[in-house]
Amino acid sequence: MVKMKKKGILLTLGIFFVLMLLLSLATLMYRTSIKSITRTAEIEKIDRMSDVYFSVERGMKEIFEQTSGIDVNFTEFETGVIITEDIPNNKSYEFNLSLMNFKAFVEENFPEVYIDPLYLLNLPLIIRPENITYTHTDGFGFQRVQVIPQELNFNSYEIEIYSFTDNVTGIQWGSNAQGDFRLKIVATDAFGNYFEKERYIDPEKAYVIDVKLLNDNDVKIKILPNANGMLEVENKAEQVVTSKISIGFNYTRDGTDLTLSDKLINVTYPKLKSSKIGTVKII
Amino acid sequence: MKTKKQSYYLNCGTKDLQRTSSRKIFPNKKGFIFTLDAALAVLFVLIIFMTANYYTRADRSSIESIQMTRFGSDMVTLLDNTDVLDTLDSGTITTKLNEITPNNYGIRLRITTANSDSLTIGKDTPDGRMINSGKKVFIVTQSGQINDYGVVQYYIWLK
Repeated sequence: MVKMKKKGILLTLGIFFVLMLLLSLATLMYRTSIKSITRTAEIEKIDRMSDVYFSVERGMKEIFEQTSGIDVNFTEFETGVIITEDIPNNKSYEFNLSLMNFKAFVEENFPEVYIDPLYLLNLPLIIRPENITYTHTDGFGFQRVQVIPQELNFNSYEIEIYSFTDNVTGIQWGSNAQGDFRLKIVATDAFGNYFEKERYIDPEKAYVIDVKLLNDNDVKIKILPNANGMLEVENKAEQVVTSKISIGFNYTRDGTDLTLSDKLINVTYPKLKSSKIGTVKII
Repeated sequence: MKTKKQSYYLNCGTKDLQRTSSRKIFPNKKGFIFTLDAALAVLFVLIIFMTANYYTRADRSSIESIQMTRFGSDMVTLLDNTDVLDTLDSGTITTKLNEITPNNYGIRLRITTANSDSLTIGKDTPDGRMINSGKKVFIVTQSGQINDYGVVQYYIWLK
């Protein structure tokens, strides 16, 4: 009789535990599915956010390509980046106008989007992962462009200056300090004049190279001292010249990107407490 | 002894049955409880499966919904990348849209531009169906010139 009672208690306990287990499993499953529904709803919203973001990015890339007058490309064997533009760049007005119109249109139709035009005043182009910035120091459309590296992780500059209206009369090299960094200057014009100089320099020392144009005008090419090979090209002439700056890396390109400045596009969804802040990839 | 008792219960008449307790009707009560237990267990398992199925079906439909929105977005991106949207021509866009839309999907586009152009392309949205939508901005470029800015809203559903 005692044995039977014990069996009964054990059976009751057993059933109780099995039921408890089933109940916990059911609760767990219920909670997981509720969470999963919430997550999928969030994913859907985030998808929409990135959809809007990427369409704005694509639009801005198109504006850059069509109106900035800046041509960016990789070198033949992808061992460097080439940036070509007129100095001063007379397309700056068209670019800024297109950008402001686009910004107004986007912000009107997508209240969650904000495009910060301040980041484009100097229209910096950032080469990553090398972290080299090509920028217009005095503002986009002015006489000076600079290449600002954060460290010396590249090995050459090739600069071509082309004059449409003035004759090029020569290249005047200001310093003779030697090093292992290749600097090549080519100066040509619409009249068939051609000058070329190539030297191995020390990028931590100061160099000033003048591309001489007729009427004593010149284009100053400077390597600034103790600045990881920082380069400056300034057109002192009244006429427009075309500058083609090629930055050579120590290796063949692998995942190098060229983008506009960071934090340019901001898409925010306060309800989701999430935002996507980013830039525009050009190449 | 046990066999004798069992045969007695089996051979007893109606009157005897009325007198006997339920214990006597179901002499093998262990079997009865076992069956009851199994039935209860099956019931529980069924309830759990049904609940799980209900919720996973709900999950599946949200995933389908995400997939559908992505599909619509891809189609609009394709139209943009192939410069079809730039034409702002209803016929050209419809032709390309029909070309890229699978038979089991229905899609409708509403395009509005900064210069007040407005286009509606595709079939009417059906009633009583799950319809997903999304919105994108695009630039109208013609002959290398930026002419306009547009917003394309797409609606997509399963036929």
